[in-house]
Amino acid sequence: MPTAWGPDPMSARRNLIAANLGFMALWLAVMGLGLYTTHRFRYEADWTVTGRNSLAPPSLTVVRQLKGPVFIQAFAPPGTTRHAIRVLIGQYQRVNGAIHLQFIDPNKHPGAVRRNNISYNGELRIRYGHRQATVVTPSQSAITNTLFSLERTGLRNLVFLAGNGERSPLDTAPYGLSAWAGELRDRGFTVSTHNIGDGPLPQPGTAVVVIADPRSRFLPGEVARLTGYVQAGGNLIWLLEPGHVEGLTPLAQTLGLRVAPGFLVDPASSLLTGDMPNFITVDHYPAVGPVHDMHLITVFPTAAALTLKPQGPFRKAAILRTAGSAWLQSAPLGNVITPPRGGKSRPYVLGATFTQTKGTQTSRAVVIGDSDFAANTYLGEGGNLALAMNIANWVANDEAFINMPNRTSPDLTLRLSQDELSVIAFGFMVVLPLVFAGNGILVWWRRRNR
Amino acid sequence: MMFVIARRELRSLFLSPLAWMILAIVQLIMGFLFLSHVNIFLSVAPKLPLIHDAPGLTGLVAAPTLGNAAVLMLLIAPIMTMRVVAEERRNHTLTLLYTAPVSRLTIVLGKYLGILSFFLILIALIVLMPLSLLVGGHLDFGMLACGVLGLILLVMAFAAVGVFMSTLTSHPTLAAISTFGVLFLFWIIDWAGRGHGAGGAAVAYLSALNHYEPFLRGLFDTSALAYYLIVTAAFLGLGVRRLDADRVGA
Repeated sequence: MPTAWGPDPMSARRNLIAANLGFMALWLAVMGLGLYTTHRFRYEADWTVTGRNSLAPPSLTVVRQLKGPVFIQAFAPPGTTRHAIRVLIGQYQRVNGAIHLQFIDPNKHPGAVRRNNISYNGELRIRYGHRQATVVTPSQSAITNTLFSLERTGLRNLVFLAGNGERSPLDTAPYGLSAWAGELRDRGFTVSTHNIGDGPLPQPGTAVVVIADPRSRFLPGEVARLTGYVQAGGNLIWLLEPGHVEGLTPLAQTLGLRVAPGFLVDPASSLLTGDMPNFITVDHYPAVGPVHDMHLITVFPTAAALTLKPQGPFRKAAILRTAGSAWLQSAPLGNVITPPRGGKSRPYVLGATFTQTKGTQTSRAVVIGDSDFAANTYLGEGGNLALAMNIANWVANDEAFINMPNRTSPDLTLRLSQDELSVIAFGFMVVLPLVFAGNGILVWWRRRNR
Repeated sequence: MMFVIARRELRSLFLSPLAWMILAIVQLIMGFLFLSHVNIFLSVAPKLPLIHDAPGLTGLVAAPTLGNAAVLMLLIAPIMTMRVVAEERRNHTLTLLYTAPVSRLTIVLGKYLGILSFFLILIALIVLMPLSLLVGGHLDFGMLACGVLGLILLVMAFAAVGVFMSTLTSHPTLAAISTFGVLFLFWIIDWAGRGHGAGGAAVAYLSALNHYEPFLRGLFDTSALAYYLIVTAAFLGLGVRRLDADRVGA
């Protein structure tokens, strides 16, 4: 170690500077090595109560089963969306190292955006083997189910009828079905529209036909085409609204069903929703078909009642039933909510499943006396989304949808009275600052007068 | 001996109006930010049960509050640390310390711990805010603890940078400005590092903010922990070295 007291002050000083520089370089190198090592060999722990930074057990199962590499392309410009996606995919990558994430800036690669039919910022294109799927709104549920659906094959093709004023899966208006369609796409369905007048329906067994609230009368030829489709074993989802059977009575007869006139009124429901009593709620479900594990309340704004006939080739099961306090009414709702003269309250069916077995082929249909529940405005209510998804999965013979456990935070509510809030605000913003500032002035005063 | 120096440092901080004023102002600003987060929470709370995996009170109030606190710390750290060595050097009292039978390491660590204690008091006051919400709700304590740990680590690194800068000069203002410069650089370094390749990734890795964010989400990452500890050790080590060089007259 050189010292400043050497024989030649100049060279000693030079030695000292050299020693200092050497130390600096060595010190920084050691620290850099430390940073690298700790970055390379890291351990992460999720400290949150609900484990919201980790994959849920169902996702873990799916991700561990993947047999090959997964390539995820995320279409997002640099910024916060990328960060959110990186965090989300990071949870998967921590479990399975064969998941690769690549960002594509939509502004710089418009060709890739067009090729992949990307329309939203943050959309993911997931490729696994030869198959690929798009996730529009990245979430753990959407990604896990897409991975799961990429691993298996099923009848995941929904054809929405158009041409008779039906609700459209492309319609983003409050009563459109775009939100549902988006969720369906996220979970591996392809969603398309088909004008029944333009050509034949898809072959039974290749797709699910959806009739969502038609508003103009079907032509006899179109009705015959539909009944033929169902008789031949075609899968069907029929969402109707009170008073809008629109010539489809033969189809109802084929299924063994009658749509009762009028709409349902249930005063008990309005206690739950706070809405008008024609908003029907269902909170108990039989353990059959699409509702076998439902436990959330579903809401049906203005629904029709269905009467199931015991005869016919279809096996029928009621899946949605009102409470015993409901009745049917044709007159508009007045201020006084009472059953019409002569009418009586009883449980009504507003949703049913229909199954028919032909040889090895089982065809499935679901009819719901309401279509608003799946509309953009009401899809978020209670279990409506879950019901809509379960129906699609069930009719598509594909019930293997993975329900993510809802990691409800333990701290969703805050109940503070106005007084409590005032005390908190006043304490933190007035009292404490004044105390500190007062002390500061006191100290300053003492020092000045010393 | 180290703790004697630390205690003396903390005492002298509170004997000046500066520390009190900083407490008052931080309290005022943080109180305001905290209440605005509470207001936002109260306005979105009715919709939260509808959202899958919705964030709660901790995620929407406590975490953003701690996030804001970090920015404030960035501004305070230079002011609180600027005088720690520079003023002693200026008043020529440093020589007195040197003559005492304590090592340079003890001097630096003692002064550092004194400053750090002040910051811990500040953090404790800030953490009181989310805790006050327990009156009318629950908190995710794991997530909160993780965020607080992150803030403490961040402040440890900030204070270490400040102490080092203060050893370099005899002008406190100069120390403050250079501390602010270094901290701010660490803060924004990944704005440029959002580029491509290993270089961009390495620069982004250096960012102090990138390591803080997982803590706020409740994700404890040993790599982030090590980052702050190593940065702290690096600057304190350089500070000790600097005082050593002082002694030999370089």
